[in-house]
Amino acid sequence: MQLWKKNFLVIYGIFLVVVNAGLFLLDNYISKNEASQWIDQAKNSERSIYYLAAGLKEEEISRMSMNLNEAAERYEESGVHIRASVNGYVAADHFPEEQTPEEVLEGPLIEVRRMGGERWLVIQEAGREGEDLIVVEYAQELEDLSRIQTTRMWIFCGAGLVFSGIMGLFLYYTMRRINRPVNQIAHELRTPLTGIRGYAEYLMMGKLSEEDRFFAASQIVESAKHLEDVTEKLLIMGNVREGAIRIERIDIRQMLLKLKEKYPDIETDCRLEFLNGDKALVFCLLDNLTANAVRVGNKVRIAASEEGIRVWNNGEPMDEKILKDINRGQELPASRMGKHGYGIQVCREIARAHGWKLRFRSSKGEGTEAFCQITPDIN
Amino acid sequence: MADILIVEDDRRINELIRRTINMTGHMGVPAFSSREALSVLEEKRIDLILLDIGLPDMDGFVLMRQIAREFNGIPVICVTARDEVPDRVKGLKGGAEDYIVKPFAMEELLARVQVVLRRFHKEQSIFHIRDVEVDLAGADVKKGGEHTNLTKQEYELLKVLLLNKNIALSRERLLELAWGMDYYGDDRTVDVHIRRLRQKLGLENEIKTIFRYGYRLEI
Repeated sequence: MQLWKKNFLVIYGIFLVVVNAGLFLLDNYISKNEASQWIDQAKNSERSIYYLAAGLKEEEISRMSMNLNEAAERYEESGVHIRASVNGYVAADHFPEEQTPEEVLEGPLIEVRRMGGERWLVIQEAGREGEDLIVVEYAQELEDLSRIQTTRMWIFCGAGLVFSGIMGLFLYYTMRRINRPVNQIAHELRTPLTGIRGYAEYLMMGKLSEEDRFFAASQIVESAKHLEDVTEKLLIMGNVREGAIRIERIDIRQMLLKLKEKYPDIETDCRLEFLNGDKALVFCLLDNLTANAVRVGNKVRIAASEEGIRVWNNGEPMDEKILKDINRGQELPASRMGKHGYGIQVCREIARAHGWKLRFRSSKGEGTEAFCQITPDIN
Repeated sequence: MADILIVEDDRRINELIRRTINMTGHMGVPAFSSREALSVLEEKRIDLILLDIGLPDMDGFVLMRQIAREFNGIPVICVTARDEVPDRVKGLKGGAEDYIVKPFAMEELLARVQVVLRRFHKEQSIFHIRDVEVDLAGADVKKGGEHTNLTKQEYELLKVLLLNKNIALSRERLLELAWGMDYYGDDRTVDVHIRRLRQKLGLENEIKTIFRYGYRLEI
């Protein structure tokens, strides 16, 4: 397995643990708070029943217990069951039948019991009010609370899954994007290395004429130059990616003159005086585009205007699929891009670092044009 | 002598492979794109294809499948910079006889070419060096029509030199190829056997000493 994939799995694993543990703790915290709110509410309800029972006078206990009974019935509708007695006289009894009353201790006892397969919050309290012994038993179904908590747990699980999935995909593609150019550069290094090694072995092992020796030596020099070129681009890309760019005022006319010195056959048309950007990187961008154009066509024109810089050549057009892929921003290996594409990745990185756009147009009869747009889109 | 098609878009590498292959007596035929490769295959009888996977006009794996379909029976060796296991597996499963990753040693490329040619019975088996005739298939060496009294080890050494003719082989490499990886001999073992070969077959001028390196059989 590639190193970056291993790194991805480790990071994603840690991410999953952190996210899921976080969600679990959050759910736990919310549930605890919710349960304690329910208990407080139940305690208040139980207390009000207790006070109601304590208010019953012996002489009118049977009449007043009607009120208590009515209150208990209303509670029952909302899933709360009550049994209340005063000095042994049961004023209201709406307690579930399965619940066998135990010895009721003084002071409230609060607990969660399982009755008939369901969870109940049970509060039992016995207290003396003057001469009277008041006993209140309060039981509230916890089904609603359980349902709310279970629903929330599933929502958290789902959200955790979706979030982890999205983040995982994002992380995977980001790591792959970062890693891929390294792979491609490694591939690009292999070709000149094969040339250097191969021709050196050819020189060493073969029975060669003087002409063959010269040819092999010149191929080693050319391969070494190619290698130098690739490493140079690698360094530039490294700097660009690390954001090490220095914006300054560039005399674009001077830069085109410098390019003309390097490629004497090209035509230049400069309608732009200055440009803000990193001088070395912008030169590298134009140099790469021009070198590609010169390699492909025998007529090359560079035109700079307020809109951007165009590098045109009259050579063979680019393959339609490759053109589509590079305009979509895909990173293609140099071998697929052929003569057109050497260093395009570097050019794109430089343009991106400046906030510019690099687009290509190519067709038979019209040639190939690389356009570096330096102004933002109007629409 | 085998005709070997070299499908590689990098001209420098293509030329390097062609020259190295030609040195050993085979004939390298260059092609720089899949289109060229297919047209060469239509025109010429090819014994082996060295195929780069990263071609500009077509994916090498696709080309390999097309070759298998249209020109059945021509062995293919993939020569590529892609060194990842899925690529190797894809290449070998797609019908490649072997898979070589760049940068490679020319010696290694030649050894693999030989192995594949041998597997497909396309390797040259009879060699003539002046009045010496070597039949590798029959393991027989004649000088002036007479059987020679080469020892087994001398014959092995001669075979290695013949299969790598015109290529300089170091003494260490000769030990490895003719004696085997497990043999713990020193350089003088090679020198002694080369001297005997030269004497028995009269190949003093053909088996050249490469100063401080090894030997080369020049035919």
